[in-house]
Formats: sequence, structure tokens, C-alpha cells
Amino acid sequence: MPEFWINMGPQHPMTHGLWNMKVKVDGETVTDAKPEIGYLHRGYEKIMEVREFQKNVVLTDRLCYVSSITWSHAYCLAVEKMMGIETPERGQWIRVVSLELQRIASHLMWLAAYGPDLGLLTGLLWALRERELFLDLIQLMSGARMNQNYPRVGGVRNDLPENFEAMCRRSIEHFLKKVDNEYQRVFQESKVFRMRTEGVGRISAADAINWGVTGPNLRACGVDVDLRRLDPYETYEQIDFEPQVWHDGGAGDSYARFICRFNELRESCQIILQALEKMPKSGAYRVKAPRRAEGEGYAKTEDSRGEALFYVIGDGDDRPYRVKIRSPVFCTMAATPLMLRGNKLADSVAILGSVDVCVGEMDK
Amino acid sequence: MKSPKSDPKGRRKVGTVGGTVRPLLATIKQALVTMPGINRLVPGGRKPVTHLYPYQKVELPLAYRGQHSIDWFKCIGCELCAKVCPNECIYFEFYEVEPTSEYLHPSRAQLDEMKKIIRRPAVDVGHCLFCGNCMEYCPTDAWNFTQEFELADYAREDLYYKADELRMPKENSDKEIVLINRIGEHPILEVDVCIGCRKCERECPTRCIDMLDGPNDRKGKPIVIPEFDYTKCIGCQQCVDVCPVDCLHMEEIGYKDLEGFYHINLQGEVKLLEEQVEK
Repeated sequence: MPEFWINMGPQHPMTHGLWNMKVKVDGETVTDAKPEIGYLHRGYEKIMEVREFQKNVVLTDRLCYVSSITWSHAYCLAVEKMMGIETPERGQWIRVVSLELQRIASHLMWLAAYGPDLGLLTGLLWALRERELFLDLIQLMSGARMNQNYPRVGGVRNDLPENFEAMCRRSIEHFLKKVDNEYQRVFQESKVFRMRTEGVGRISAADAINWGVTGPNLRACGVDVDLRRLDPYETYEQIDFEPQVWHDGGAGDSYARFICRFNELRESCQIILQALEKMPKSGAYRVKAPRRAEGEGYAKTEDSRGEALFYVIGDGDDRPYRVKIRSPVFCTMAATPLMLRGNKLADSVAILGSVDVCVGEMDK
Repeated sequence: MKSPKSDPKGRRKVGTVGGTVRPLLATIKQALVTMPGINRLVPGGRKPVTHLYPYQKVELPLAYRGQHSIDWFKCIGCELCAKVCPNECIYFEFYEVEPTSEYLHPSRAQLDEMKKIIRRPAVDVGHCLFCGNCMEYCPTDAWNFTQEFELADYAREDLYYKADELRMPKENSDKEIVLINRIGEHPILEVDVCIGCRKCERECPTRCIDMLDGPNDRKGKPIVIPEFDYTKCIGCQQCVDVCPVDCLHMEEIGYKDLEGFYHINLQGEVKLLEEQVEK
């Protein structure tokens, strides 16, 4: 039988958005793959040039609606570096809390999508149920469940509410219990789940680095890369946490990627608890930011999907002259043909789901 | 990391008594756990995490950004909200009122053309993204959001809320006048270009502009030039926008203090979703 191409997408439950994975199959085996993106291109970098610095925060929220605070935070960090201002300490701690809450919410959304990919509908219901807890906390903090418009150039929008700390602790305690008992059993200890994910979609650490894979996907290859540790921004250097890296054999497969993300849920909870403890109880959370600025700013942060980068140039006007966005998923997507080659067609769902695709930030 | 094979209970053998009864008990327990009413009595039983939505409503924090609500006593019609709106969905409507109306702001009312006219914001909610910038930068704290979130409508035209529909009820207003420059800029005049047309004076919502005698223009005729009272300036750029010869531009001053932004810390006591369901 000759080899032929199959379109996985743009309308396919596997794709989690609008993009197309062309897969070349020889019988059941994938011999080649070609991601086709651009269905959701909105021209972000160009739109941002005609809007003021403050209005762009709203726009960067929508880069990835699942983890909007991490993206608008990266943008604010770049603009702050360009303007040469620094957030006050309490503002930085509040940012750390909001970033980790958003990271958990994002990972839970990924878990909710990855379960049904493998026929595990329980995962969808459970993960979305627990995500609600964190969306509630984010709503309490910023006033909106999604697209919060929370980070500001020079700080955050508003202070933490009074009862936030107690609520946060209680929700996290409840969530950690669920992770240890329910999630671990239904995902990690399930034999069917392990059979579907172990050994498929393997990529070597060298290949992953060459193709620009970052974040949990690279850590699953056994490379200890976490920008929160290597290039600390905000107050991450004062926090004691362990980047989740896969150290055992068989690195770089779907299961390793799953484990890295899954353990990050627990690790993020620990970061939040530490941040709530070490945070100064009062003080300024925002500094004065100029409206117009000149210069260059460059910030890279550990997004929930990898390394997000913003490069902003200002020419003295109240809006950026040029903005460059580096999306982690865009680079990971280039490496997916390597993961897919040699696997069965049915496993491509298990592989692409574990990569955590977000089309909004991929197409920009 | 536990492997499935290292299950302490060991493998269950089919055909033995334990192998038959244990799965049966597990099934019965699961059935009880999910049964409404009984689920609260069984250990590990789940309470519902959902609401019966149209009948039960979720309690939302004060900081929640729902329907816009504008305090007409405080609003001075400076159009700053329209300028900071990312989607430019705020429009200003002009209303003619009685000279004794409470809504007339004294500053603008002193001028002839503006004597009977107030301008108040209207919002196209279909375009609004509820970012809260309008509330954050409002110099008089006139802009508020309510917890009303059911804004769906049948026609697109119905989503355009006229200024009158967004008016806050009279009794909710404290009528306290504040003027804070939250934009952090104020206008600067280039005297050589100014032609003394007085347009900026008429447009200024806080009446911080006084016209003083200035130099002669090209024909040798004396003109008046604006002088700004920066203590009252709110940085709304209205004067810059109306200037016919572009002799004004905005310059950085910084906020007077960051406490000007504390009005958005609105959260009060609120319950999380889980808690609301438990009661």
C-alpha cells in the first residue's frame, strides 16, 4: 500500500483549536508529519504597535486565554525593563501568587483536555471541577475569571483582598488532597493510561534543544531548565522549590511530559503557600509608570507551556515601536514531526495532547 | 511513583469469593456516593459543585466587573474613559438640562454655550471587554461596575446602552467630589503657535484654564493665551484634542500619588463557589 497524507484537523477533537496536522502514513505507522498553522493568526505584533502600553495589557491577556496572567505579566515585565522601573516588593509577591494560580489553572485545563484525548472522560470532569477553585481565587483577586487584565506596568491592578490568604490556603489544601488521592489514581497509576503514553512520542534531549523546545516538554527530556530558577524574575529566587525534571530512563516520551506537568501542579501549590508566608503584609503594590518611554526592553519568563519572551522597543511615544513575541508552543510545534515519526497513527493523539497546544499563542 | 503492579492488595483472582464480593461492594459504594441525598452520609460522598443557575445565583465579589454604572453627580464629562478604552466602545451623549439641574457641573456651566448641556458616557456593551480601565482612570470615581452579569440580548442594537440607562440610582451616590490626575500628564503650551481662539477654555471640564493677555499675533493684534491651573488638571487631553493649531501637547508629570489608584480595591467579604454550595 502506498504512503498517503491524512489531515488531522483543522476540525478534529485532537487539535484543541484551529490547526492542522498533516500526517503521512504507511499503513498504521506515521512516517512523516507536517504541522500547518495560521488559522488563528490575528497579527498581534502589528496591533500592539498602534495601541498604548496600557491598552496592550488587555491584548496580551488574549494571547492564551487559559493562562492570561502569565502572558500579560511577561509583557509588563518587558515594558518595565524598557522604562527602567521596578515593581515594589509586595507587588512582586502578589505577581508570583497570581502567576502560580494561573499556572495551576492552565495545567488543569491541559489535564482536562488530555484525559478525553485518551478516552478518560473522568479526567475532564475532575480537572475542570478543581479548576473552578482556582478561577474563583483569581476572580477574588482580580475581579474576573478569565482575561483578568491584572498585571500593570509597574505592579498589579489592585491589592489582595483581606480574606484571600485564608481562602487560598484552604483551597490548596483541598486541591492537594484531591491530587494525591484521585488524580494520581486515575491518571498515573492507571495501567491503561500508562500503556497509552509510555514510550510513545519520544524525542531526544539534543533534538529538543535544537528545535527550541522549552518548558515542561524539555524538562521531560531530562534537561534541568526552568527560568524561574536559572534566570529568576520577580521574587522567585527567594522561594525554595524544585523544578520538575524527569530523571529516570525512557526520557522524552508522552508519559514523562505528563509527569512533569502533573508534578508541577503540586510544586506550584507549594510556591503559593511559601509566597503567602514570605509576602510583606502591607506596602505599595504599584509604582508610577511613565506614559511615554524610549528604549528597549526584553523579558523572558517561564510560561505554563515554556519560555515566553517579549521584546519591546519604544521610540518616545506612548505606544511601542515594535513588539516581538516568542511563543513556546510555536517552537514545540516544529518539533512534533520528530515525536510523531515511527509511531502508530492512533498514538498521535496521545503525543500531541501531551505537548499542551494552545493555538492562540501559537498563531499570535 | 507507584507502579500498578505494586498494589498492596495484590491481584484479585476471578472465581474466588473475595474476587466476586469486593468488586460488587465497590460498585454499590460508588452508586451510593453519587446518589442525591444519600451522598452526604456516605464517607467520601460528593456534594454537588454546580448551581441550579437561574434560580440560585453565585455571590460575586465587589470587584467583579459586570454592568457599567455611572454616577451622574460625579461625572464631569471629561471623556477620559473613552480615551483609555482599548476597544473604543465608549461614546458620549449630550443632554440638555435645566439650569438648576444637579448634574450640571459648575465649572463648565459658567460658559455660555455649555450652560444647559451635560455630556455623559454611553457604552456599546457588545464591544466592551470589561477590562476596567475606564473605572481605573476615571478622575472623579464616577465610573462603577455592578455585579449584574446577565447582559445577553436579542438584537445587537440592544447592546448599545444609552447614557441614561447606565445612570446609577440617585441614592447610591455619595456626591463627594474628587479630582485626581490618574493619567499622569498635563498640557504644555507653545505660545508662538497659539492663536487665542479660547476653544480649550470652553472644552476644559474642570475649568482649569484661564485666558491671559499674551503676545501680539502676526498682524500685530494682541491675543489671549491659556494659563493652566495644574492643581485642577486631570490630564484628560480635551484641550489638546480641540486645539485647531496643535499648540498644546501632553507632558509627563507622574501621578500625584499612587493612592489615587486605591479606589479599585473593592473586594469585600465573599464566599468561594465550594463554600456557597455547601450551605
